[in-house]
Amino acid sequence: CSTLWQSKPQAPAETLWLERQSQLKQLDNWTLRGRTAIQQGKEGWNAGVSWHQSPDQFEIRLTGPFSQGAVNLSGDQNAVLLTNSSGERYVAATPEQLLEEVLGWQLPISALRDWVKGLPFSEAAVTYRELDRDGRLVALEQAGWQVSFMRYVPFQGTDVPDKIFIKRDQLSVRLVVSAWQSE
Amino acid sequence: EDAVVDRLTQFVDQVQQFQARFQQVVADPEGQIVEQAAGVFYLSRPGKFRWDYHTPYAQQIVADGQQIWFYDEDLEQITVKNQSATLADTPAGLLSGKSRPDEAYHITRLNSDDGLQWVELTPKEADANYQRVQLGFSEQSLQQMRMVDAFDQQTRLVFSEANVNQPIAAEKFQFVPPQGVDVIGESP
Repeated sequence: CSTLWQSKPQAPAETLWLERQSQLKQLDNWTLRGRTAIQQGKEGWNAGVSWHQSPDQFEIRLTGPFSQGAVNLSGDQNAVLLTNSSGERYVAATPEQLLEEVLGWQLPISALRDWVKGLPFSEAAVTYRELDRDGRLVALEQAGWQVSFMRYVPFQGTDVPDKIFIKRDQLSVRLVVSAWQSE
Repeated sequence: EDAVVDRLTQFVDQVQQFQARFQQVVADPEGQIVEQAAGVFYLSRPGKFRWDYHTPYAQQIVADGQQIWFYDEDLEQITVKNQSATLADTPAGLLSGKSRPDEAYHITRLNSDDGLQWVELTPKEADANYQRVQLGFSEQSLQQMRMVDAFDQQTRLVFSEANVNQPIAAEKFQFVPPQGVDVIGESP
């Protein structure tokens, strides 16, 4: 009689999640390009996003429709510089502080750095977490933020999100990634 | 002035309706292409226009004369803004403009290129959102548009299958938010 090949039982999501976490943590030199919609209370903005991240430096460019109204945010551990489309330059210790002071946006850039890869923010407790069958984050709650990982794409031997919705009180950030690259 | 600036003035004065397919290429300062998109552009002067992006993502930007609606389907969100505030000195505003280009821009003639005659507009207002816009005209009408932003990122638009002064349905310039999609911003 024919033996039915017994497919390897699906490893439990938790085990797969541990594997994914270690793979994603090694991914520390990447560039993503996509689009974001930011809502703060009654106001909304749409922008193109390009984000280059390396272990000790980052550069984030937000451009309005027809590439106007661009904002460039770049920095490292100790200082962050924001340049806007009129060439004005602002410096602060953290990206959060700069975006708040210059544009009035409260964007959790440091947390986003982990969330965009599908990892919890390393510097805050996880108050809620949900995995899919393949051990990928589907939903996450940290520091009052609700993060929904809507869609994944294969990348560098694992999967990274390419559609993320983030919400906290009056603030919502939606990000769709059209291209992931790694050096 | 000369033929090219006349073509710009001719476009501004005589073109009421304009519809064309467009290819949009965005390149970084080193000329590396970072995005290519395509869709259809509709213009009804003064004050109304619509960009329907079809690929690689679905997005509509509709200026109905009072407001600009910005709908990105994958982001599942509509942003609406007052048109005059948002449009002040953008290329889209230039095309649909209620004011004459020479009011807001220094206009100079460039050498012809791609078989087109080119004119360059640099905003008179120092802190405009972008450094310069170049418009390329064929005999029939506007054929290309190039914009360079403050960080030297270049957006190039090539129009094809253009219809000039053919009627365009009014609904094209009215935006009706689809069911269940959040509308953010000052909507009526």
